[in-house]
Amino acid sequence: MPYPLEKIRNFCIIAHIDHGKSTLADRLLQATGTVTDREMQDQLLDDMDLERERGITIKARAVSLRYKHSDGEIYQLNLIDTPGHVDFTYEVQRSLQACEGALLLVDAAQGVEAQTMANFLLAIDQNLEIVPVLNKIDLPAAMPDKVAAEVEESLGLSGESCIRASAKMGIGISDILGAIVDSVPAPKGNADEPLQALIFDAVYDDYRGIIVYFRVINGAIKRGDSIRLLRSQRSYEVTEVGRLTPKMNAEKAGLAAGEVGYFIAAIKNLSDVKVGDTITLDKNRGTPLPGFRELKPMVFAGLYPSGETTFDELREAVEKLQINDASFTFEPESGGALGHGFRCGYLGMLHLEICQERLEREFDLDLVTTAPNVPYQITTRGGEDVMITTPAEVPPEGFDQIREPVVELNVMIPSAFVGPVMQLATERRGEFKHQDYLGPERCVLTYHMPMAEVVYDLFDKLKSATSGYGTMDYDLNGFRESDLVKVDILVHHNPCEALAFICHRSVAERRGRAIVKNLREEIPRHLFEVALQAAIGAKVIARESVKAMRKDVTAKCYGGDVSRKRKLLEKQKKGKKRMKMIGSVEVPQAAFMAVLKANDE
Amino acid sequence: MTIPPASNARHLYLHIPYCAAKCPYCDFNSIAGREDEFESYVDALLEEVGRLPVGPYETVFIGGGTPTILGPQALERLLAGIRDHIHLAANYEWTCEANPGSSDAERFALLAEHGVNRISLGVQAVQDHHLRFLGRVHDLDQARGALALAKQAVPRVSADLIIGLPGQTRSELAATIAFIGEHELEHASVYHLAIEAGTEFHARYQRGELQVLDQDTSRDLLEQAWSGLAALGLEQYETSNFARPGAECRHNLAYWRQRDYQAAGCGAVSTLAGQRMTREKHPGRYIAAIQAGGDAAWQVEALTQVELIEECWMLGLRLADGVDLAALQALGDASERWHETAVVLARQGLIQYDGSRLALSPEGRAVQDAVTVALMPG
Repeated sequence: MPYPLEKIRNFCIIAHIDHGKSTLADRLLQATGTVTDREMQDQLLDDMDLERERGITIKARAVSLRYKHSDGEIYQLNLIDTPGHVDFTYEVQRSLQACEGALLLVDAAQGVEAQTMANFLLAIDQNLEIVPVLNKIDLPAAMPDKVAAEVEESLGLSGESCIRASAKMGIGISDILGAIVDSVPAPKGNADEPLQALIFDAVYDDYRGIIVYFRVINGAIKRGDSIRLLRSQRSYEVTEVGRLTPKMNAEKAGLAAGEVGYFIAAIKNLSDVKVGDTITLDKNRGTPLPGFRELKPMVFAGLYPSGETTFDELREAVEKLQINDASFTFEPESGGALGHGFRCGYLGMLHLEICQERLEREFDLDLVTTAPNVPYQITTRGGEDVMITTPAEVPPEGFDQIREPVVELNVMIPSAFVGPVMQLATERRGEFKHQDYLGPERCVLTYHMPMAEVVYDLFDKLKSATSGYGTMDYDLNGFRESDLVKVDILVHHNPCEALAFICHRSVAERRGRAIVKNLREEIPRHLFEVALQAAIGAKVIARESVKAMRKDVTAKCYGGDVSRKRKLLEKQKKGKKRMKMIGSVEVPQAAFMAVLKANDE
Repeated sequence: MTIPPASNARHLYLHIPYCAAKCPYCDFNSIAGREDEFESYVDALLEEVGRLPVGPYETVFIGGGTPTILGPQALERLLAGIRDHIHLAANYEWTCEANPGSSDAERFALLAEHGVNRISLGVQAVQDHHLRFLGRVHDLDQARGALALAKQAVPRVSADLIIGLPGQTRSELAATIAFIGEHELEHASVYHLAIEAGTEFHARYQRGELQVLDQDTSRDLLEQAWSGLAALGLEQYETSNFARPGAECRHNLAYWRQRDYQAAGCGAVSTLAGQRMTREKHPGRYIAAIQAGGDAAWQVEALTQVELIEECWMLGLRLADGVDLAALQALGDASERWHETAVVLARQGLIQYDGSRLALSPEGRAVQDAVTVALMPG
């Protein structure tokens, strides 16, 4: 007996980072008795340590709430959590597609921010019913009336309809639950049609294997069903289906149209499970759901073992990481001095940092990450178009054309900061598109800007240019031709691919100089003078040198301290072995980040 | 108890841990202000000496601490006790360390009377402000007086000096070299100041209260010292040791040539047939262990083949004669492993290497550790 559609509501919470999304989710769980106060861990939905530490949601999760409405009926409210960072926009989109409504959470002190706007637009695109909520009204700095007016002006929602709440203090929670039932439409769908279910997330669990989170659009799914993933064209037998309460709660009868839950089947590779894919039955096949998009990594960096870590350990770890994070990609790469490693692709810099931290923590690895870069398109001398993910792939004979990814960037700022932000955008090769006001004091600036200027550190620069008030959001806008050059870094006349980078010709000299200067600080003195050069082709654009070592003598060594002095030399030798060899030069791992640091100067 | 390996070691080190004051740079096993312990320490040391093979020994070295801090009676008992048990080879060398602050004609006469024929005097610096910085209890006049007394008492005298002191000028260093010349010393040990772990200087350095010289200044001072000493006819036969030909310290050469050596006393180290034993460092515990009939072993190392090879490089490169390539070969470090490295280092002017001899050049001497590490296995 399928659960009656009119008693189901599927919703998500969308918000700018730090506007209190996870706290509100927790409060809804508590208010509906889904979890007891005793079970309540702060921010229950963020169950990765990293997420809790960073205070952001990385992976989307879902939970079913049983809610007794004022009409006396019991409703099944399925809350689908969404990631809160621009790197994970695609995952947000998938989560939205599984819902009929969204709580739009706005900080009553901060107002509408770039991601509020971006997520709102995504939700409108999916035809979701929006329930605006002003959070943190208990704060002394809260200005609910002003923010309500801003919501009305910038988002076109009625300011009157905004629910005033404080998730922290438990204010307005019952109003929110009521509004979900009253405003969000019940799902449409038919349990009797062939199965069509949307995968909005999947995780790898050490004990249970791959767990797939999905929303049934039409049809039904139960244990023992032979299902098929339409994208990957693979079939599996379902071993368990259930709801998330938020623990996995197996449901013998299975789930039917409108419902949200999880299933487990003997799936080996998470790469077979693509977020956005459609699940159907092997025998009675449904058609694919629209809008599937393969995720494309936009930031690439080399990842190499260091210290005690071996290449095999690294390979095992990246394979496992990919099981848990299908948007992380890797290809074997040989990095010269760095030995064998991987070219890894990430959705953005935050994704890179998270993956790196997870590899270091969960797998206890010692790693060197090379400076990240965006992908480039090159038209070769032979007229062929190729995509490259590392400067090492720039053909030595040059190219006819090089194109770089460009994003449409929206920056939301108090109007007082328009000047400094425009200056920053100009420095970053931004092409101004338009300026829109969100009321008298706030505006949105829209630019087209090379992605390379955005991903690494623009957010930090924006924060400092706007006293912390600026927020931003971006989306890929295609590839553009640009006057880009590959800058080689030569360590004692040996080019080091791991240090090479691609940049705009106008900044090549400044960055080259900054890098060789940083390298000079990182590379210890050798028995000879070490020459450091930055070059475009054969033309040297910057040079520095590490002076030869002048003194390194153990003054005393007699019968009583031979062992100790020997151990000191052994230690010195070990330290040298930890370094990477570029020709005859020993380069410490930190030096490979010199390129990154040079961006700050 | 560790059973000592069979060895007919020809060299003997004896340790006296006591000092008038602990110097802030010193990481040797020394302790200040325990006059009450002197007698029982001499007993214990003689007890241990009594268990050693009788020799003959070619060299004996009494080091410290400050051996001459012992009162004349205790010192005499010690020297007589040593002579009672061990035999000295015909052309023996017997060194005793002394400090200008605890030197007098009576003590030096006692040393000479019992067979000591070499005194190594801890002069350390020739400017009073540097002596104070080093925490020394003597001044320059006392150093001059002690040197004169030593030269009257024994045929061979050496002085220890520290250079590379914070703020040391070229002219101050010139005065240090001139001092060696004025006293017509046949031997001098000239060390660059090192901040050793566990010393007061180290603590001050870590707190940022002690500035050390930069590499370039250090190098300049080292070169000035080396050429100054060469001009006096003192050859750099080891990294920090300079002598007229024939006046080298044979005892220390034994260490650098990887010979076996016996030892007695707290913290003293013996190395016999690849087994290195360090005795209990604390004098009180050493005395108790010996009194109880034990060997006072604190640490026993069986040196591995690789360690012996490493030491062969480390010690050999300290010597002007260089590494004993035949010994290296015998230890199993075939030249195929290091030959190419040696050729590169020779081309860089850091070593002299002609297939039969491998020694540091003056350029290489200044970066000895880095060169050693480059050549060492591992």
